[in-house]
Amino acid sequence: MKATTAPHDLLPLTPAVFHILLALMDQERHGYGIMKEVEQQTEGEMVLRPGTLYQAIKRMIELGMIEETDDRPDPALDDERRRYYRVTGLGRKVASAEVDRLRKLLALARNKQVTAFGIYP
Amino acid sequence: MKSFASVNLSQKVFSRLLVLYPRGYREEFGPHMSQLFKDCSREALALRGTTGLITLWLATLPDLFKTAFEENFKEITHMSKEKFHRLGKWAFVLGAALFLLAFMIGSMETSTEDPFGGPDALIEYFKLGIGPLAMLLFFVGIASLRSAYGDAAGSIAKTMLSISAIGSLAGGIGAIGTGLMLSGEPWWHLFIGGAMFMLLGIGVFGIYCMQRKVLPGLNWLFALGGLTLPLLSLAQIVFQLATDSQVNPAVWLSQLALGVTTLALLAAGLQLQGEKATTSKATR
Repeated sequence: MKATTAPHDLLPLTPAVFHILLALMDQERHGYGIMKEVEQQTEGEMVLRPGTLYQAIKRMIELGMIEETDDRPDPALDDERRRYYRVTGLGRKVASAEVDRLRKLLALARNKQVTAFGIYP
Repeated sequence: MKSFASVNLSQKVFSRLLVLYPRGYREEFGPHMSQLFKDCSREALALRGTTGLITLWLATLPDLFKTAFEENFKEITHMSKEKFHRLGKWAFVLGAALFLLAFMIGSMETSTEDPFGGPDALIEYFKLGIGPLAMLLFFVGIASLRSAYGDAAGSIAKTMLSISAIGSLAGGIGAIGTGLMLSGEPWWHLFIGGAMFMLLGIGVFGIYCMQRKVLPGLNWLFALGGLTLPLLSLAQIVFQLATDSQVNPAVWLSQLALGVTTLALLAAGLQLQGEKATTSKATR
């Protein structure tokens, strides 16, 4: 029997996993759609290649963070061989937990007066 | 037309390279990776022509080699882990069965001083080799328990299973020493001490199993099997300290505790058979 996975057990997330979750937050997407969305949301800083993308997708499916879906946004316009993914309830909780973790980390860094421009004593 | 051919060729070469991934992975994700690469090739060619396509390949190849290596490594370690878990579960059952066997044979032994057999006779059989073998089997079984259920049971339970495994090794060494009659008491104490730590570790693991429902049912078996003898020993020590005496528990009570321990551990081991391990879920 699988013990229930707590969102905090899955933290910290890798940047790829976190960005994939964010890309799927507002809509279901296929592999290429996820790749383009991540590229756009990071302003080109992160480009997921096929190997890394599907490795992360595989792991996220195994952990129950995302799932495949048979729904097509517009079947007439889309290739039915493409596989779409959507974020699950657990995936949303994990993303929230990661945001909370990063918020605390940021607060700590600010307390220590570490900014994006350097350290101010 | 020329660009269409380039994209197709690019996808074909990429699809061939997918042979580097493990078979299951390739069958599951290969067509989608190939489709994704085709989309990327089309885009690269449209935006920057042949240079774009070459740049895409240069960026994709290291990623492909790296992830193919990682997936193959995972596949190999996963397979050996599964085998280890299967072997470990049987080792646990056999270790418990040997304990039970030793106890039963020990109980059949009669003497004028100990008409119903019991712990004294059991000791004799331990000296003959059942003890070291059982302890060695328990060591393998406990190590596999730790690997399969440690994460699900929590860090304290995992640490206690480590202590338990060390205890079983120490107990095994003590049992060998006792069997060879190397120098009597120290070896005997090592055996008893090791066995107690081994049982205590299993017992605490059992408590966490109950708390977290690590197994589908009978989680309490590990707690019962692990804690009965250590608790009896603790009660004995407390009693002896409180009364300043050297009174030992009645033979029937020791036998009962030993019987409960062996049966509970055997039942716990049998319950593990067919049970799928819950492994670590960290996404790193």
